[in-house]
Amino acid sequence: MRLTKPRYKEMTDESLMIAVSKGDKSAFDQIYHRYSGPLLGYFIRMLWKDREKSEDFVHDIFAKIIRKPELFDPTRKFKTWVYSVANNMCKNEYKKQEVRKNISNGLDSTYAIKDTNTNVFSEVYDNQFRHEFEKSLDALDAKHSEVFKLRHIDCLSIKEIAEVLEISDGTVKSRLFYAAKYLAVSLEDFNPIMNR
Amino acid sequence: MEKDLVDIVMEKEYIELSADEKAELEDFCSSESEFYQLKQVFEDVGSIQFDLPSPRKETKQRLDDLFNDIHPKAAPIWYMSVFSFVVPREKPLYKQPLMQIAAVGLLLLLIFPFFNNEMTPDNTQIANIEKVEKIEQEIEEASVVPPGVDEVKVDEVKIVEEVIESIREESKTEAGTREITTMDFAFTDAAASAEPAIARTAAPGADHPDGIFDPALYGEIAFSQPASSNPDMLDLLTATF
Repeated sequence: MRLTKPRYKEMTDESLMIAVSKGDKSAFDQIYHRYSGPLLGYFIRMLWKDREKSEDFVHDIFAKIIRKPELFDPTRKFKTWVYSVANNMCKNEYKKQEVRKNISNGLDSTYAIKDTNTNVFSEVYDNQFRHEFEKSLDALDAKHSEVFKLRHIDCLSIKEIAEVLEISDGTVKSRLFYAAKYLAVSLEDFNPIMNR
Repeated sequence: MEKDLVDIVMEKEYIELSADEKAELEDFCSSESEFYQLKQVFEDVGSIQFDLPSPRKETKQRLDDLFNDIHPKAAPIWYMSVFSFVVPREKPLYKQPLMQIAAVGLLLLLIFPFFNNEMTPDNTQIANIEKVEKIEQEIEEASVVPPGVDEVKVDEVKIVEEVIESIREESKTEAGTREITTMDFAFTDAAASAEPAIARTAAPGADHPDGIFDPALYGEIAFSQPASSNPDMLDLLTATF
């Protein structure tokens, strides 16, 4: 019997999930605090910027965690597991819709790009760079842009992306570097770093 | 996030790459210029800070209700309810009632001796008072003249003392000069007659300053005893307050 309060903020995701399976509400709150924002951003990107649908998907994925926490294997990394589940949910939604809307690159206006640089001139360059960057991502193939976003926006490693998308590490690398080269060519004329 | 090939490209210069790393990058960048091109893209994207959206509060509320339905709180055992009151998990340690009670108890324990230090006679003082009374009683008993003692001799000593005192007083006036002379002879006679009595009271060969009286003459009880032979008396005489 514990005499002091557990430090949930310092616990790993896997330890928190074990506590959730035992009915620990505070552990679930911590898990929700860590992953609700990133998952919402992921669903917004993947579901054609549909905020309402993305909110529902966030609720559904955490409801799945509450109802069946035993589905999570503690020997695995929770982060890759939850993104795998999210990815599968999106695939199922695509099948339902049978239409992939490619109107935008998923960077919603609510998905604000923040820049702390206060210099006026660099701010202008940054705004232009962001515009070109979004445009280039939008033009990129979905499978390549998905890998690129998972790497640079959701901050998953190559191994984790491979696990989420159920593809090999080599495939992830090739898609990632292909996307990087494409962006390098697209943004070659506009180089904010060199011109600052 | 564990480090991968992208991190290597972002952190290292081309000349710093190991042979294994170069081999791994060979499929993606065959030359140094391509390497720096990729490095530039990764750095530019890395400098962009994406502000993550937050779900609505209603979403969290619905999940909380679902959690309470799936994992209802167990009925507390009676001692757990007491324990949960004195050691609430949601409060920090210094705000828990049990800790506060323990702190107050410790404080009282530390300050209690200061308030308990009163000027009342304790058992040690009572024992000392009783000892003094006993010694006084012994002195009184010792001062009583034992049977068989020649009271005349004692009276003669008293007479001598009175004579001495009167001589002192009369010596202060001139008129008493002649009487002093006369009295001197009387004193001398009285002192001479008193000397044997005094001498008889001291044991032959006695050299103790208090005077040792021969117990054989006066029984087992002596008129006085030296302080060193009476520990209680010695304590009384040497007591310091």
